[in-house]
Amino acid sequence: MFSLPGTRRIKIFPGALVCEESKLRGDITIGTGTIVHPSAIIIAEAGPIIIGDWCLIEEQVKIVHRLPFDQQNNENTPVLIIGSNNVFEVDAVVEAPKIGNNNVFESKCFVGNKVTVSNGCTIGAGCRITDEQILPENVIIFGSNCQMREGLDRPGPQTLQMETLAKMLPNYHHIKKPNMKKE
Amino acid sequence: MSYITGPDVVKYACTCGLLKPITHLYFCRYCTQIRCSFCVCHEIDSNFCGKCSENIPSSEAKLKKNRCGNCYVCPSCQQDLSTRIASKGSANPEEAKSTPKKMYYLLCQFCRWSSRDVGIPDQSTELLDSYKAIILASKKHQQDKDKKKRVKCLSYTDRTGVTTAAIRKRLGLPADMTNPMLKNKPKDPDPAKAKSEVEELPDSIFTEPLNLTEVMTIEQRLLQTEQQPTTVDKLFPVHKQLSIKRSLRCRSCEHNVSKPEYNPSSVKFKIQLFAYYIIPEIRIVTVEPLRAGKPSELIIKFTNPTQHQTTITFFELNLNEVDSQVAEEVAENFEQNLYLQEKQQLSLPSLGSLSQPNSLLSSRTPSITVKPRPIEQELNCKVEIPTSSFILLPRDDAAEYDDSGDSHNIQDDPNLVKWRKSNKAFIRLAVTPNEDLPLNSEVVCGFVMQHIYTNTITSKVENKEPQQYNHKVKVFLNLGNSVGSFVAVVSRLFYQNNFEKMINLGDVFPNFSAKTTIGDIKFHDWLNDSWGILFSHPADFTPVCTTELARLLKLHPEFAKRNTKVIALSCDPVSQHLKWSNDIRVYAGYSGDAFPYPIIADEDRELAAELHMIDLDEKDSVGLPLTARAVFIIDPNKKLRLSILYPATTGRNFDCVTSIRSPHHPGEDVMVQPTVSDDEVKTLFPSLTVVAVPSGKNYLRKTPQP
Repeated sequence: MFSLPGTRRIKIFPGALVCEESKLRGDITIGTGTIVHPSAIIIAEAGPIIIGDWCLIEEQVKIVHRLPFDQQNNENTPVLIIGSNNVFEVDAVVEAPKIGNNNVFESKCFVGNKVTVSNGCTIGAGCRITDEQILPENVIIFGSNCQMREGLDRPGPQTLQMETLAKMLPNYHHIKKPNMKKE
Repeated sequence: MSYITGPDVVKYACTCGLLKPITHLYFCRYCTQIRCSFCVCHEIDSNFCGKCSENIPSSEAKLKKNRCGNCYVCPSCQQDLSTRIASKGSANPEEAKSTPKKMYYLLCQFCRWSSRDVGIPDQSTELLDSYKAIILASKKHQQDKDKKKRVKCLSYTDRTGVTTAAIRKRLGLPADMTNPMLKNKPKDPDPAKAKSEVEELPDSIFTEPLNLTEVMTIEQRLLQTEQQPTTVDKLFPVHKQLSIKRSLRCRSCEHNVSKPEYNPSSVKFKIQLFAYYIIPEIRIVTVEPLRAGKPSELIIKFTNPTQHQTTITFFELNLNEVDSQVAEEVAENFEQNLYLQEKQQLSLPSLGSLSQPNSLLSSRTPSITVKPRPIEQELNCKVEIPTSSFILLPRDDAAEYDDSGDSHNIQDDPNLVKWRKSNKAFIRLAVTPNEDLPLNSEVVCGFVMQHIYTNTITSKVENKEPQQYNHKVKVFLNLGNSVGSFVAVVSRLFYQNNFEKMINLGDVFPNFSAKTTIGDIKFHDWLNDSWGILFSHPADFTPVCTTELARLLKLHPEFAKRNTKVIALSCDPVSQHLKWSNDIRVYAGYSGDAFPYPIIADEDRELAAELHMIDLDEKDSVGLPLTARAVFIIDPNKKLRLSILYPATTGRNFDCVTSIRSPHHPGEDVMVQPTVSDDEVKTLFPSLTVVAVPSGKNYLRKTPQP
């Protein structure tokens, strides 16, 4: 699976901000405007990961694409597609097989590899979701008991924060050069 | 932090008889007694809102039902709601120049509930401004009114000194004029009657699928007590409940033991007589495994929190004696109370007259003295009370940063004080659990600690020296469970790792006694004067262990040839061992009648812990750790000659073990020890051959097998 080691299989579109220190393993595509912090970890173990545009992946975030135990012997390699405008806050661990747009994964949350995340969902800080399910749109999970409620609309984008980061991060970190051309 | 999260293992007895950790206790320095939250008066000092930190007078708080007028909590998750500003363009698109209006709405940062969720329209500042104007106007109006009142509003009674009753009397009317409305008393409503027939539930409740995201939780419903709606579209923000600052007052001397600062934004105290700052703190450092009837060493740490040196003395804790004392006190108190009651009854009629000048104290509701109760804690462990006492140095905050080391010169009893540093001392005590204590039961011991309390209040001017009292505290220590449990084994393991060495090669192997498949044995006796191999396996009826023991079964004659006895060990009972040995015999194809070597049953893991062969990563079905795969070879002098420790997951090669006992293959040449000098070699082994190696050192010397 790791026939090509290192960064050669990592595709970065122009406009993306991927810090050199971040740990990216496997076949990963990062879309325009996405920011990956220095100590974020993205591991494409079971198959490629495609991250959309304008995602924010903060420190200590772990995005792991691994197969569920009962699909270990599956022949075809699934692709983890992460949509646009998703926010992964500090220390979130996400193993979901599919993620839509405009989701927020708050600090220290955990999303297991049987949970499919649709659009506009908010996984609250410290919430652990492991049961097999498809999260409906605009759902908000919060509290120690992972209480669920339906939101009015999707959470607002973190444009201000991302603008600041786009200015700040290149001043203090080495940035991986984009190696893809705009489509 | 451990005080908040950890279990309370050291408890102090409050004067009222309750046992509490030191952090929950207060110390009244006027009575020199310990007080707990149950034997002090709780008084509300101030009401305030925790969000906006506004101090709200108690009368206003009562009026607002103890809720803040400005702050709201989230109806969904009970967190504070914050106000958000949203700018909204003018409704009329033609007026492009007009500045966008600021609109406010409430948002919960936690669950993202917002006032928009339930259709509350965003509020503009206009309304707030107009309210502010109204408030200002009404204040001004009130002030004007007050001014007018002072001049005009005087009752006739005030002017003439004649009451209405007096006038009525003069006019010949009955003195008492009650309102005619009050005369015919309103009828009491009929009490509600319980119905036996209840309306049946609608069918929809059984047929329609339930959408949990639309239904309120019990917490959410109870937050809106008046409406108690069931669906989430009726979640409306609730005013935030006020917090209080309270002071605690000793019931017997009416002095405060705790008084917070009035300002809501301050977390400091004006008075804080916490026991934690006055009474030496005790912590359990370590305790040897507790066996019924056998003494164990207990090491506890004393810390002096005060700026004064203190001397700690131990006394025996006799609960029965205490009980009788308490009973006497209770009786006394009872009599006193009776006396007081009588006195009060006597003085009641005269209360109306002004003969009794009310003191300051009686203006408050008199506090009820709490009678001390007997301590409800059984002791099942004796503490050998040390005869000598020891000194605890005063606390010195600066000493923490001083690296020069302790310069104290205290003659300590080495049997009592194990170690000391600045204001801390580590004390060694001998504890003996009761003989009849069942296995795995909680062991609790107790003693009375006497320390010197230095009273810092300067009550008497001429008495410059701070007063010192001997204060006694009953302390209860929960030492954990008696041995036999996993906890004890682990604690023992930790203990041994810290304080005892493992058995080294050349040490005499412990002469343990154990239950085996050939009955109870004493290890050294069983070994007699032959070599011994003790080996352990994780569990019976497991594949690797079976192959291992089967291999050993086949190799057993080889061991017997070399005067070596073999014994196995695992944590299963003897009955299991016996059943399993049949399996091994079949698997190994062994033809002999009896199983040739015994198996030790170490069910409570004591032997495994003693020999350090527990594998904490491997656990059995009830979570107890299993033995690792250890091999010990013991020589006829009962000394350990070899030890191998494999994890439970890795099988051993017993052929290899056989080769250890005779580290050569039959017929092959054997090596000569390098310690034997070349001259000796020639005399000892005449037919020596030296293998030439590139280094030129002659250490590979072979001789035919003797």
